Amino acid sequence: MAEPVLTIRDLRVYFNIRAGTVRAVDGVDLDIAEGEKLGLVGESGSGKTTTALAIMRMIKPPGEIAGGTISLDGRDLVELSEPEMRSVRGNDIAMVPQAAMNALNPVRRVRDQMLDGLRDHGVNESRNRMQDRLTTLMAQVGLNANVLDLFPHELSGGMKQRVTIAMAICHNPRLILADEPTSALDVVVQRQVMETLEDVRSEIGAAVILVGHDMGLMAQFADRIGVMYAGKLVELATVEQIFANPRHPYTRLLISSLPDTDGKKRLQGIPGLPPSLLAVPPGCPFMPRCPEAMDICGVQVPELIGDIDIVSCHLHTEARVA
Amino acid sequence: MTTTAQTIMHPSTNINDSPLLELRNVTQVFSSGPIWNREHNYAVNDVSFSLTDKPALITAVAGESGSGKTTLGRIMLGFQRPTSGHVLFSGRDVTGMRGGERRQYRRQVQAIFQDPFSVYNPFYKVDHIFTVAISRFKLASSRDEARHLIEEAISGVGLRPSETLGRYPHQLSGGQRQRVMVARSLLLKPQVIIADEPVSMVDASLRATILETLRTLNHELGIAILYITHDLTTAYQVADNIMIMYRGHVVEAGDVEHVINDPKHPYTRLLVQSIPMPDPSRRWADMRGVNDPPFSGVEVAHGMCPFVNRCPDALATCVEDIPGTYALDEHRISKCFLYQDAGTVPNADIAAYFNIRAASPSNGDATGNM
Repeated sequence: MAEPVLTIRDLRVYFNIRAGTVRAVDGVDLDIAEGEKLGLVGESGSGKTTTALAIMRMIKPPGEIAGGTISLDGRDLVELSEPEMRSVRGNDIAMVPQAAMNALNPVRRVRDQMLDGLRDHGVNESRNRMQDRLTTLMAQVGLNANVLDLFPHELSGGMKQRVTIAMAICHNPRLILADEPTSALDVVVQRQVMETLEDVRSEIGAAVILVGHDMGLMAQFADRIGVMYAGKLVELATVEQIFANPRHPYTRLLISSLPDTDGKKRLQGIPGLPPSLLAVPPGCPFMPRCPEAMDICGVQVPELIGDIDIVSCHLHTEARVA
Repeated sequence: MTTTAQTIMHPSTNINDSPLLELRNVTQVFSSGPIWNREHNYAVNDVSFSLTDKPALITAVAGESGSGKTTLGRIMLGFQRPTSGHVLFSGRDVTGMRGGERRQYRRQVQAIFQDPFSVYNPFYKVDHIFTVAISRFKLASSRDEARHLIEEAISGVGLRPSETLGRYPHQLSGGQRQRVMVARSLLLKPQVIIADEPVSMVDASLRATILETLRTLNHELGIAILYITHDLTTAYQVADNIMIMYRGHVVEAGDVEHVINDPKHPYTRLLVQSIPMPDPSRRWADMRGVNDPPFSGVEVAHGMCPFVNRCPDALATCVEDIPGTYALDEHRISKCFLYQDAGTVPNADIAAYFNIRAASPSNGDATGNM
């Protein structure tokens, strides 16, 4: 594996509310290699978005990073001061938000919003140079330069999402966090936006963490997939392994619940609900819903087995050999 | 019955009585802008289509946002009076319905909406949506009977009444809330359910359960279902037939197996190619730069093919006229000039070209025990 850009160790994000402590992310380890495309999947409340926000240090109270390290090129982001972190955001790590319509300011032209992003990070060049930069950025995401003079409401959903991608790449970040960037778009536009993201990613050589619950999209885009459940990473493997050979019962059920177009079948959901993160039961958090649960699962939390190909399940006591 | 209750004879079936719910040449125009420069947006453009209970089928309506699929559903639910054309329930025009007749229509045609959050009043327990329906339609004569009906409906969608009733909406998960909405429809034992994106806001793991419940309602209770969606994979799994909409036009329709696995209309092809298949060995084909649409610069106006500016196969005729609806075979129609040799169908009921399910697919154990 190539040198990791980002190394997360034992990340814990807790929300202290009146009813107790919600362990939204509880001990996540993750390495993202240079230029890698990592998919992070899970149900709502599994901690996938919280993990992404923690990397950006954008957890708001009552939430806090309760422990662990997030190292970017050897610097621990958790320890940085707020001004230092501000320069990391955008320059080193950028985010493509879920709802592009809420991410753009409705009363300002695209040009002004993009210029803000550039100036805020110390880019202050001549008018013409700035103009050239914006035109190049627009071309990179497949938009015409005249989009710069439009207001967000004059753009379609796909165009808005391309504008946010252009904003994300304007400082050539090492890592792009994309949180369900196409969930509000229809399939044709979704494909086009994902292709745009892939084009700019390979052009600037950035790594991408794609957060979402759409396994179809993950299969199309990701190199590796991490599956989260109840604040923990339960399986991490290459996209081929995850789909051909899922090891965690949750991953297996997640994949078998997907509809495809190769003959009609009985659709199988995953029975039950994820546990409350206020009081996670002892043992494996998936145990109450697991069709293969054993006695030990209710008592002991399964350890993470493996190095690159990771699973946390009592069914697997040995690492998979490549 | 008055004389207005005339029936259209279907070429492929011999139904003498009227379909349950029928659209006849329905057009919905939304106008905007100042009166000297009105813009007319054809959300639904001359669509004729029907749902029957002989047999009751699941019909999908698919298309991108703005294709008119939701407007079509709203018209069928009677929420929207179309600009022109007729909506008939059991052969009677719904616009003229009053009193008991209208109530009957309201009861027999039920809706399930996309957002399982905003349909609830947060101040009432979920029981409220059931008790209102029971008193409105006088379904029960006593409290016990009402309770029994509610519990039966909730069990019918695979929820446990003890864990559902007496709770507030915020105490249930999104998937549970959506299933409670399905249970409400079930309580009324309707003939038709119009489900507008029922699973798009629900987690992937719960989608399967809700869709399976809809399928059970159709197969076991004979409820005709219109499944409105942008997701072709769930449409394929759930529906018998599908209509693909683009800018208000039904551009292709027919048996779901044929339409999805052998799409004919260029728009359907584009849609199918864009499905993110959950299989890393079948990634999106790279379509960038290939097959550039010949008329990409054309501003689409009323009176030309609505897809002309995005169509890689567009012909000169496509900018001059609206294509007719052509019958490719007995279970497929397409509104595209590529198929004009097949001959125009009279603008009749699209459902005449639907495939009637021979036998229920393997649902023998459809217990909904989730």
